[in-house]
Amino acid sequence: MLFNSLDFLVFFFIILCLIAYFKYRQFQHLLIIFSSIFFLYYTDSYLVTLLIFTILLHFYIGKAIYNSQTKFKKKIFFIIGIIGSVGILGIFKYTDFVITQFNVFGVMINLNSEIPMLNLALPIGISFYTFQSMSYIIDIYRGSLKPSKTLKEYAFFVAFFLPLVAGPILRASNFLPQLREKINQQETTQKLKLFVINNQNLKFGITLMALGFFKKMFIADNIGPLVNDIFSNPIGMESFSIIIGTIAFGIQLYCDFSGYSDIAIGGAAILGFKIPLNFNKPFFATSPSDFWTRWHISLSTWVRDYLYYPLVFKNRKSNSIVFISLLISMILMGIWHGASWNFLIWGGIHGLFLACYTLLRKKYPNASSNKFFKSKFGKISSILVTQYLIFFTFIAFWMRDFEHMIYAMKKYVFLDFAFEKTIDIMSANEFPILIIILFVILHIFSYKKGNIPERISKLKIHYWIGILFMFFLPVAIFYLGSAREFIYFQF
Amino acid sequence: MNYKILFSVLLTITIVSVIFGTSMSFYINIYDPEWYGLFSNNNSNENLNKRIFLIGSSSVYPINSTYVNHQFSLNKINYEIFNLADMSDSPKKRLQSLSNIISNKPNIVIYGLNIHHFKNYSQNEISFYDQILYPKKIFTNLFDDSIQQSIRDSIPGSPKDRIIFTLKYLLFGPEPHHHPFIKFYETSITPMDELETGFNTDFKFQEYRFSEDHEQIISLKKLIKEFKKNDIKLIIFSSPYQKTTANENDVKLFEKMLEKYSKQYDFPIYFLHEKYIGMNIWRDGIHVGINKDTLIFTKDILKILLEEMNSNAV
Repeated sequence: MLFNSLDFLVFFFIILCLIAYFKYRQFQHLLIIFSSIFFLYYTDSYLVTLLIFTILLHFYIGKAIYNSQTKFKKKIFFIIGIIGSVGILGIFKYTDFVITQFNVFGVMINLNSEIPMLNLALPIGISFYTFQSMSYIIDIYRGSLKPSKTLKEYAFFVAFFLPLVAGPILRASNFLPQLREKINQQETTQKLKLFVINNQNLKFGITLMALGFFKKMFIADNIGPLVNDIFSNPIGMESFSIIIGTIAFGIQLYCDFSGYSDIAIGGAAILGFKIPLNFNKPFFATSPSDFWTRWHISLSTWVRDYLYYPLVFKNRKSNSIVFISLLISMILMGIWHGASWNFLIWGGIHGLFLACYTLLRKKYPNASSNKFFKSKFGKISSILVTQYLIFFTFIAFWMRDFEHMIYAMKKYVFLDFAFEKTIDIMSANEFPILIIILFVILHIFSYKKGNIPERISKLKIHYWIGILFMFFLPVAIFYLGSAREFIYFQF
Repeated sequence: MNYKILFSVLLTITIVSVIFGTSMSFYINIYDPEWYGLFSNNNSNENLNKRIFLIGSSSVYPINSTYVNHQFSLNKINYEIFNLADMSDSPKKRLQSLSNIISNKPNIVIYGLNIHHFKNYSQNEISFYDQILYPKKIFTNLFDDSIQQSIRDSIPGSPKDRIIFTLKYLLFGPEPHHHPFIKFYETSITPMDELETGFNTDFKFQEYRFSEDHEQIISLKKLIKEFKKNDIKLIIFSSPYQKTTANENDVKLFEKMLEKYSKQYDFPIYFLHEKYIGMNIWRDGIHVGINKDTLIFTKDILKILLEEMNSNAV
């Protein structure tokens, strides 16, 4: 069930009506759990069983870890839980990739047999809900979280349909208290929260959802054809065509993914939940490390907290350990996106950028307080250099064909200053180019003005309707004719 | 919950829907062969040629009107053809722009009819296995075919293309003057083996219905009668496919139906639906490619027109 389909709007509307009408917390919570399971069942058929299995496994493992008296027992349960999560993810997402590599290696050493592929369907949202579940048991193992006391509460946290298939990845420590009635006394009360749809949340949620639809259906979907035109066969393209394709893809990916996150966060806000931001104007990042505090924040903080920090913990002063830890963390983050070499390369390049930046900062700790970097020109230069590097990595994110990727990267770095074909491409794609210009203007505006959705939601109702109208109209009249899948659904 | 907020949202959605619906049918209803756009210098050219309107869905779109017009001028035939094919067109949809067609006074209307217009939209049986594994199918069956079909009839394949065409049409006139409704760009020809692979996945025969109470047949009859009443010569041909979801029996019923109406209302009928099967001219299963190597379809239409012009003076 795509967020940008009629099915979802009907589904969400029915849930809202039921929640508004039946004001019994038991009913409301069960409704959300069962409708979340139905949501995934409707989208992914029998593969919903994996979600149910994940919920049961991690709930009981979490309890077992917490109740274990010895460190050894805790460790055993923890390892079982991690093997369970990584195992499910590995089998469904990476087995065929590994088999392919074995077969390629077999051909290289003249082995005359091939391991047959499993051809398993990739369960939708699996990377998101397994990471969510893993963070839950890791936090319990570390002693920073008490396990959920009821299965219902835990099932709600993992299966909640809004962030289920493409994030943001929730943290139990952040979400579970919101489920309970008295946040400050969460340990003394077991009562679950009654959902009350209040005006401010409703207005804010609708605004954010409308903005999400606008980003996805108007901006991302309409830029897509330009990206496909350039990236599907880049061989022979000029440097400026590749740069336009890269900029277009970066914007498409951002609007597609942050559009999904906005719809999820907005929907959750209507129900009274605060889901953390997943994007914060990433195209204004002034360094690679700043970029990762603004792009897919829920994943980057997950990788930081559960992968990078443990790797680097005892050897923070060693440059080589920092370098290798960053590289490993980012490569794994790349592979998280998909079982393909291009994601590994994408993660590797980001790791390299981050590692170099971190080491440079270590060597020149006072550089950021330098006059130049504090000036407006310095800041703009930092943004431009950072974005040049970040957009370079998007080539690897899109292109699975190695020859195409290398060609495009070369053209991106070594400019050929040819324009003839670029002008042809631009004139054949006037509409996507106009949308890119519009996006840049809106992005700068939102950067200067701060939290736009919140400001809009606080407007008087007639102004608010006007803004909603401005979001909905382009979505409707520039609709492509069928709902396009979100890019992050495949992860 | 604040009903004022909900009401506001519903009101916004309603206004957007009204604007959307109006703008979607606007273009095809205001089309005028003499319109060259607000910012164009061509609007003084008055064309004295008699008009032929080619209508139908995207399956007749590959007919190259530029080629036909060139042949007309070489043979000093005082006619000009306009390919008014529109995406997802059907007799019911075409009825909405009938008054506009008539007001532009064509001498001949040549209509490509597609067997797929006559699908039976009554609910299909879904197996128990499918119901359990694919719950979406139940909802699709319940809502999509029945309720959404009527909505779909009024919405073109791509609203975005339609709105951009409308804006361009108003400002600069139709982009290709003789192919106004669909973006005209050359398409490649899909190799036959690739086409076959495409057919084999998810191919399923569908149910068709040719009875008098089918809404498409009611609309078709209305169109025929209106053309007759306005003294416009009508030629109907069946648009070609490489493979159809209709079974052999339904194809025969389709032919019989057209023959019946051809006799009843006295218009010529040409069967092209199976003429190009197996030829290397297809973009996909129901669309001939737009390509210099696929001119056979255009040439056949030209032949039909010349034959009809010779058989009786129009």
